[in-house]
Amino acid sequence: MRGVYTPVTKIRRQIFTEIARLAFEGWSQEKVEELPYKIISGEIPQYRDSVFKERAIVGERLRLAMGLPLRDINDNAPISKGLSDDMLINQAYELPLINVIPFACNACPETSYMVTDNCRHCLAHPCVSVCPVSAIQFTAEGTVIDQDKCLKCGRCKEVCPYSAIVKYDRPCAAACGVKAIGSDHLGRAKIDYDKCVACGQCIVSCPFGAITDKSQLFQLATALKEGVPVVAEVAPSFVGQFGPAATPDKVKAALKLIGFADVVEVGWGADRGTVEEVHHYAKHVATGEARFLATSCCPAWSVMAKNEFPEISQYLSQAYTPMVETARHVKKTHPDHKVAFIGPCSAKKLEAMRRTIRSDVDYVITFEELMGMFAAKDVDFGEIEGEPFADAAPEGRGYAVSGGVAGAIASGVHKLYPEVEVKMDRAEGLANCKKMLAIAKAGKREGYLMEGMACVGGCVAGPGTLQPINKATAAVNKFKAESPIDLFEGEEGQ
Amino acid sequence: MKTMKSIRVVVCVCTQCIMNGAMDIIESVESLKKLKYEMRHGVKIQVETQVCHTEHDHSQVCPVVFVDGQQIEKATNEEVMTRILSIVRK
Repeated sequence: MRGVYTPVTKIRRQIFTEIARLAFEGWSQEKVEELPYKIISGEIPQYRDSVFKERAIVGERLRLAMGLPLRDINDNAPISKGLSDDMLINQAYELPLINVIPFACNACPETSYMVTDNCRHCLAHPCVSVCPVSAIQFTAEGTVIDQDKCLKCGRCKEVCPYSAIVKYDRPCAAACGVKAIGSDHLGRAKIDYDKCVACGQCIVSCPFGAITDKSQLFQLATALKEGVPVVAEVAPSFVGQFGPAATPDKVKAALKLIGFADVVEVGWGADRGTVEEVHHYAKHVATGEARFLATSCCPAWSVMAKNEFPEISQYLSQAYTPMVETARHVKKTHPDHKVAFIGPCSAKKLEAMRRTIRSDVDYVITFEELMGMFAAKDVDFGEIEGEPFADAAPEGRGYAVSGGVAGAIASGVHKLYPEVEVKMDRAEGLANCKKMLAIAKAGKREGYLMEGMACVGGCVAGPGTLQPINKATAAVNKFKAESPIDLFEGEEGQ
Repeated sequence: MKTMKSIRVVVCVCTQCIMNGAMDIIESVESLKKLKYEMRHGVKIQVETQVCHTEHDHSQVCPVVFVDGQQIEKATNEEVMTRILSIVRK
């Protein structure tokens, strides 16, 4: 459903705007309790069977948007329960990051094959012939598949001449590349947090809007309102996210307008990582000292690799991720400032929760959450005087698009080590990333540079983005071409 | 010589309209260009973006789209596409 504006998108964005407004205007418990009635007004339900349920779900979404945990269903507590003065600015993310709101979940059945009205009860009925467990029966009511017998092998679907048999997938589970979604005792989605890498694909795939992640939007907006100095580091995929009027230089100016002390490109950190990985590949991988080099900037991919392929995880790049590299640089140059990473990604929130990174990155929000801040502040991009970026080289800016990370490293190797041949492989989507790592584990990617991206299309397709992938990709490529920096100027092979 | 029929679609891309799905409307309108049969081949759809300044509170009526000068408030993908196809079929 990503790329289609639906009522789920509408509600999510309303929540972000209202939470940002609440923070900027000063919060009170009364204001928080009024929000569900502002977002879901009247008595005629628009989305579900009753406005009361709609408001209850909005209440939980509001809590998550303020970084608070879900309430227990038996807990008679206000929406703002747990919101205290000491967590208004300094609250870090706490597990679980990705949450299923149980009573918003439709309890969709798990994967199954079903016979539709397209069935003509044909004489040949090849579906019956190919079923290895005789699960298909012809009855007076029509053709049915005995779900207790069915192996879910899909053979019947493949042979049906009328396309009458369909595979039914629960959308959240189908989108999850690490098979982290199971069911609770009522058949509702339940996340296995030992497997979840917070890629966020379930969030954008659930047609009932039942899954959502926590946010620090409220804390960040409160910090800006209180005059806390915060530097924004924007991920390379920010370009084009806020509409055609929001050119990169205007986004920078708009961020300062809403209170950020300074704005830097995360592409700067990506460039540092690129240089480190160029040398590492040429000196250790091309020489056969290390088996391969897997990129590490996508946290969902690298956490999945560490969880599921621990025996080869030492070949993941040891370079700091662009977010962390840039944040550490900012903390050196602005020691009394906080750092807010603004990106497309839920997994970056998980990365920022790590004990070793908490002191570097104080806030992580998505582009969609930032747009809520712009909307709350009525930012008019048409009226803003832009301020150009000049932090990152084309290599770092290109990290936003699938193929960009490996492409940047390969181009560096060609420039600095022209005698070295770069062998590359890459995968998009965690299920494909797992296949690529399984091949590498089997010894068939020796000497390779491997890029993994949890989102198909790269960061421009992240769950926290606003724009269609093709438009965002084009905007990133244009911005990349405009960079004034030559990353490898003065750099030599070692 | 027969002149090609042209439909001008202007989508407001202010912050409030973007937040309420303006970019998805642009995608929908652009997708109509692929419907060659339904679009009678000869109809040209021009999509433009601009930040509009309407007289009343813009945030209450977002997103705003103009199809051949006719304003649609709280525009949806389906409403805009239907309006365009109704003009094509005239």
